[in-house]
Amino acid sequence: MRSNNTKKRTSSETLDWLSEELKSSLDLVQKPLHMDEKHAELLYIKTVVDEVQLHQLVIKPFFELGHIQHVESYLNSLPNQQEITSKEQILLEMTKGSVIVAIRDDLLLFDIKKVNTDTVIQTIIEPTIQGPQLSLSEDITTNINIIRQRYHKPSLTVEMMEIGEKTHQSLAIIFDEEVVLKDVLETIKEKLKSINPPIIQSTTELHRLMNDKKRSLMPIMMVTERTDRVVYNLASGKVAILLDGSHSTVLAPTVFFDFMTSMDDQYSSYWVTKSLKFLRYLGLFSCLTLPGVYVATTSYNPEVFRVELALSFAGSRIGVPYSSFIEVLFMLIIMELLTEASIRLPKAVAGTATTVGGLILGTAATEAALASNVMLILVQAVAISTFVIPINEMSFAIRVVRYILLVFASFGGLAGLVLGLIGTLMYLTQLESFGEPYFKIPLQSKEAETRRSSL
Amino acid sequence: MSRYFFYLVFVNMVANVVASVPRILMGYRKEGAIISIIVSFCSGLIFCYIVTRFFNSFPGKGLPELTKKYLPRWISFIILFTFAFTWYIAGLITLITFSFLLKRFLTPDMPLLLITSIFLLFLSYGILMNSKSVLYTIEFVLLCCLPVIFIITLKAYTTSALKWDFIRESFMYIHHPPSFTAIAASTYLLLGGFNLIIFNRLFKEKQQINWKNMIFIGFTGGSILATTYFIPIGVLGFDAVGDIVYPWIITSDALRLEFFIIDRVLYIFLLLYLAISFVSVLIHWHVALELLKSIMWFKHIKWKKQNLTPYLFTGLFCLGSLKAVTYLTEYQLLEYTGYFLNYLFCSFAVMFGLFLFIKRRAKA
Amino acid sequence: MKIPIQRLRRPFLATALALSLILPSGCGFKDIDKRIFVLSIGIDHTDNEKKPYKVILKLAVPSRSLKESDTKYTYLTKESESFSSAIRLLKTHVDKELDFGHTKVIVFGEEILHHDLADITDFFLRRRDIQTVAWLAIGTPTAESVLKAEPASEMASSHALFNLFDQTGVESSYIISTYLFDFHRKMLETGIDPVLPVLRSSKNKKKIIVNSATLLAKNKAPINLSPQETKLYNLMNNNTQKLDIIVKEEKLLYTVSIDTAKTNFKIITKPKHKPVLKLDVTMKGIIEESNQHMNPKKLNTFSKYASKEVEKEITALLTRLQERGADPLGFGVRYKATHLHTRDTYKEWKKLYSEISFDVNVKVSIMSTGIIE
Repeated sequence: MRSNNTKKRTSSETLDWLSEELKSSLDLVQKPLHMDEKHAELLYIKTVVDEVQLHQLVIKPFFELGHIQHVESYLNSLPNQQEITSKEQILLEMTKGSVIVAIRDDLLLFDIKKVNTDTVIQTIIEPTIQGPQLSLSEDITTNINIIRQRYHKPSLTVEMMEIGEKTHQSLAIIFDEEVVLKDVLETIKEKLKSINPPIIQSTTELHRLMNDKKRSLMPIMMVTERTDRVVYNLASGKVAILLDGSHSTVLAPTVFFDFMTSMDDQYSSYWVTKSLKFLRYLGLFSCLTLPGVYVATTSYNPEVFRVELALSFAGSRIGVPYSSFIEVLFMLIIMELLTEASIRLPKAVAGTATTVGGLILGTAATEAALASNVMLILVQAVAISTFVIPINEMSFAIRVVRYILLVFASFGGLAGLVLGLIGTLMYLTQLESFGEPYFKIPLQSKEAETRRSSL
Repeated sequence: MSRYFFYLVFVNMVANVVASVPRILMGYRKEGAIISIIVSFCSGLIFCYIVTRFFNSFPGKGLPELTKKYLPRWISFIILFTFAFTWYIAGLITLITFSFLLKRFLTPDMPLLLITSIFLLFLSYGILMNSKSVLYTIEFVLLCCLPVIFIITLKAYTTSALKWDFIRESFMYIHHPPSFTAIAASTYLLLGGFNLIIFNRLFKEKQQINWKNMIFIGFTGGSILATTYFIPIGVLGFDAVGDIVYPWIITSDALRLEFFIIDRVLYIFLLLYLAISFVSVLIHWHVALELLKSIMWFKHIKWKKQNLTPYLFTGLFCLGSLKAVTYLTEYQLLEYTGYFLNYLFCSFAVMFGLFLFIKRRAKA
Repeated sequence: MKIPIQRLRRPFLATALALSLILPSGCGFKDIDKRIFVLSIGIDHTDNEKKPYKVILKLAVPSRSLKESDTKYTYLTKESESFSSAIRLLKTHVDKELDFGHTKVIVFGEEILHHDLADITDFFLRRRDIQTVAWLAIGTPTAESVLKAEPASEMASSHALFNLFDQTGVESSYIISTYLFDFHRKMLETGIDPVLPVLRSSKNKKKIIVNSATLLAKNKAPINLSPQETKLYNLMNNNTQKLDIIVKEEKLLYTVSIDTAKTNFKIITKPKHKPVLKLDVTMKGIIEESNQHMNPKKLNTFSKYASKEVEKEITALLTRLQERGADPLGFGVRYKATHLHTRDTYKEWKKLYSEISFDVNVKVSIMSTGIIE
């Protein structure tokens, strides 16, 4: 009896409290429904609620059904109904697009949200030749729908939670119950509970927050927008994290070699794949070492290359007023600026930028003897080979490593370069992605390696 | 047997060139070097087999754990300290030899201290890693170096500069008795298995070394041993090779890749050996550091909740090597390397007594 | 105002790092346009007692665009008593650092041969930057005349002498390529003697001709080999596979162009018999030129004539070398390689070599008569 009273009391109090809290926004709608003896009150935020559906689900039956009890039992059996735990929770749900119906001293909460972000777009970051061309959208329900449609397995589990103190975004953890690595899952859940960022808008922020090292260089989780990549990774036991409002997911745990695979590898024949993989690694190696090799061989050991090549280098450097190290740095920085700027170019000026970059900077620099011919070709080769790496995060990380290697090559010559490479290798082998060693060469089959034996 | 064990063995085989083993062998070429090589091949294989069988019976345990369990504390302290010192000197020799090589051939204008410091910088980062990462690093470096080694060996055997007559001439000295220094020097190639005293901690599953593995080790070891000794003689001439301070370096300089961008194989050889000797010193000093960590751990040296003992030891390693690099001449280095290799041979023979003792205690 | 040290640490490190980037000096950093490459070295003998050696360096001057102009060279000469002092003094004549990393040819003047060559090669071997695969040659009349020749056929950035010796340029059986390490090992080894090619330049310094050689027997005067003998030496040493044989049989004169050639030799010492050196040569080729019609059915006879001709020439050469006590093919080393070493192995060989008789078997197989008969 007493609980009923309190409930009665609190339901109207709650309604008043809610309308007080939300009074300041003009899009709050507080509408009483009244027909003969039936009385109900609606409270919702107009801009996030799908009013057509509201009309169809709640308002029309209210007026069509006879008795108020019928209305209440009808409303109670709608699948959109959400459980009420506290008035703060009701407030939160209203901001997401739920409608409060106060009927016969009972408060019912319905999820009738309107989403505008559920358009599924083409893949823009990671295009492939064959394979699916549609990427994820920005709405979490649509995304889960896409993934589930590609992976029809009952053991595919989706767990939801909320993250972000101020924004309260919903987060979905997706994994395949049968093959997932249990300790990785536990670690991820713990980490997600412990981080408490005020605002989180994209899964890449999650990546930085979940990394133990505050200042890291290499990505330890993969960010991808492709649905087929997500499904492949789920099938091999990884965990995918989806965030509402972000059109890419984050996969964990990831090792170095995952960043160098492209989805096209699955869709082409064996030898084609092998040669393309080789090409990719060659691109990686060359974009790391070419600037360092140039500085080391022209300034420390010009006798390493053949006579003809050495004389050609010497000839192309005639007239360049500064040392090779500054020259390389100068050209590389201009290339970096070009790359950065091309991300932000409005479409109107895109054409001008290409002309400026390619023709003017390149040719004019040589003519003015500010850079040597050989150097230009080298920098262009480096720039192109950086983009052979399929995943952008790794590409950016490699760009930074390249400068470190350049510094070592300028200090120590060829020996410095080789030692710098080994140093980078040692840094990579030390990293761990959620318990998986980051840089371990999978000579045995993947299952044997990931079964977490001692080595 | 896990493939990481073979990497440990292989690094020692290839890094023998930087440990002055060919130079020592050339010194004995007229006094029974060939018989010494054969004897050391057999003895090296036996050593390798014994040490691997011993550690196979204690999966997941390194030598510090075993001595602490089965021997009184003061004995284990002395033994582990001696071994740590031995491993430190082994790495030090490779480091100094390679710094001299770099100064002589690649960067003659750079001060020797700077060369060694750059090396030490990366080494310090490496030995402070955990053992698993060390093994992964070794794996990758060896995989990258394998094609280069293959090309150089192929070039060496097929070049027209190699005169088989010189090699046959060296064979004609076979009736001289072997010498202990030559035996000790060439056994060094097959002693890679002794690094198991620390790395066995990572082989937590029960491993088994069988005759197939031993044949593989024997075959690789034997062919590398033969190549190390005979190829410089063939290329540089039997009498003339005694004059040359770094036989393999000059041998690689005598090879030419005519149609490649790098004309002289010397530079490829030097860079290859840079990587290999780095890995070799990394292994040896990592073992030494782990041994020292297990016997001496200063709980009170802390900085921001991180214990500084490993850093202290690393600093000592670096200081010792910087002092030694400036102090030694090439000839002294060669002499001391000879003494050290002799000592190594004897100490490993003594180690077998230790193994026997521990095994008896463990059974009881 | 006290600023805690911790706050200062990061900016301090950053400035230190930035400053250190400006100074990669003092560690051997020298740009390629501050170096000048020495392509070849020449050494002549002067009559000056105190300064017996004259060192000539040929330097390459790089040009901006290689397609426009040829490579230019400059020369530096200096007389001195030792090479290191000559080179140190020559450094003061140029504004750039002399870089010996690409020195691939070393030419000795003819006069030097009469002095001890071991000293001279010692310098080149002891220095680390001169390639061990540098070619050695002898220049007549002086090394300077050979070095200063700039052939008209030389193209930009490729040096004529390199192309001569490196068989990727011209391939000829009259050219002997001797590497520095090869020379060194043959000088020090008992039982084999080094051979060096002889370079000559034409009068207008526009051509370099190399087709003969000099054999430097130890402790003996140098022996000159004619072009024909040079060719035979190359054949016997398995240095070359392509050569030509001119056969004259009464009125018939024809040339066989050989494609593949292989030589083997064995030293047969039977007790109580005279020692015999058995040399087997097998060659295959086609007829290149003839003054008569060649009947393809008689190919065997032509082969026989050719074989006999070569046998005669080889035996003559070997006998001539035996008389002089010179051994360029390494018979001595082969003897040492097949007999267990005792103290007197080399002495035995020397005695043997003066008595040995040569059994030369040449088998020439002519495969065809060419395009026409």
